[in-house]
Amino acid sequence: MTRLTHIASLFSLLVVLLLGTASCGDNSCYDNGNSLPLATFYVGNSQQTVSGLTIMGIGVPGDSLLADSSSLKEIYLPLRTSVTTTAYKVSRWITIGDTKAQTIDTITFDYQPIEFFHSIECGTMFNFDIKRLTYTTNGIDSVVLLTPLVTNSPTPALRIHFTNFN
Amino acid sequence: MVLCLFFAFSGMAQEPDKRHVTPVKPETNRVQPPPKGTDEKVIQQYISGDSTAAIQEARKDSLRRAYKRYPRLTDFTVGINLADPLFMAFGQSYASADVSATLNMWNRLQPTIELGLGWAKSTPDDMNFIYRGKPSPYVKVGANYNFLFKNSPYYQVYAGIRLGYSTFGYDIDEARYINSYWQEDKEFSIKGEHSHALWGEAGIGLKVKLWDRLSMGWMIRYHGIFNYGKSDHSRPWFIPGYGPRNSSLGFSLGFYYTLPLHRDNGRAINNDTTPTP
Repeated sequence: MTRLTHIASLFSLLVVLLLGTASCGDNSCYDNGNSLPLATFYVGNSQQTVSGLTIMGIGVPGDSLLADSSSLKEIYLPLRTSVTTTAYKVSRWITIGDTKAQTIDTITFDYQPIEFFHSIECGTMFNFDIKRLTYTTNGIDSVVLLTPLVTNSPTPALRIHFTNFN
Repeated sequence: MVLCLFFAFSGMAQEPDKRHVTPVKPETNRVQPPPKGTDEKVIQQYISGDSTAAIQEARKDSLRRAYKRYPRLTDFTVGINLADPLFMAFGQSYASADVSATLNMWNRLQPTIELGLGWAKSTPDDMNFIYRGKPSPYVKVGANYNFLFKNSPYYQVYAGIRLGYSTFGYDIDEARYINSYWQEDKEFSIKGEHSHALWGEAGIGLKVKLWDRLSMGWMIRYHGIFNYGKSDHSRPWFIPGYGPRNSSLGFSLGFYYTLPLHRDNGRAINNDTTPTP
């Protein structure tokens, strides 16, 4: 082979490599684009779909609802970034015998929002360092915080155990 | 009377038709000179009469001439890697450029050090930030093994490993967060982030001669991070010398200048023989 042939080979391989690497790009974000605490619902000790749930942020513009008399197994509860406290009202219709009643509870998050850059694919967001979690127990038995740091991981951040009235 | 008889018999013994000739070559010490370049050891073995050893040695000698053995310090090469700056001209949002120094030993083993700078500026489409990687240094140390060690050092096919380290800074500017449920729209920046990374590379490459002592080559490298620094506010996206943190392939394209380090080597490496793999 001559020297020119070598150089031609070098550049041919280079072009092939460039074409190959150009097709390898992956701009997908495999996690959530935002950090939202995922709450899962339990009745007793088993995760269940809970019916008759209405969930609303306290003070949300336009009294917007996250859920309206819905049957849910889990729900994301977005936290505010301009303040360090977010509260949700959780209403649940229950039936005891022939009587139908509504329980109303409040779950309050006290936290520190943390500005966070996740990746070029998922972008920037706020993580939340939960300092305190309080709740009422009208229809809720307990709330368990699974991780104090809420990130964009799609894993549950808290478990809400509802009282079993049956 | 006696004398007469003597001369009579002498004359009978020297009759011309009964003579025969026995040619005799004069003895001499002259020998044929050995082929030019024959090893002195071979010549001495022939002189001493040990022809078997001489033949074996002559064979080794011819092999040595056919396949050059390069000295321990064959040459020293400096290079510059311009792959990323070239790719930046075609739209890549980050770059690492470095200079390298390579010691070629026996034309096989080549310890290498690479020193460089890396920087980035990325504004992805449909995203909510600008990532600015400040120009930061990196270093890589490692070695190549040249598979064409029997040929000219200007033509190489090699495999190499590297260990890389960088300490670097970056900012995230003009970030925007929109919370549609709470109707919040917030802009922020994350300034003065610092991190470090330690990684390893393994790759293959090719180098060819361009002109005189100037050559060029490329190397494709598979790499992985051993450790990197995280903060409460971010994970680094770009690592100088490595590229995007989630990448697994790197590429270098370099120009090299080679300095021979051995007197005989000058003839050897200037002998522009093509490789015969």
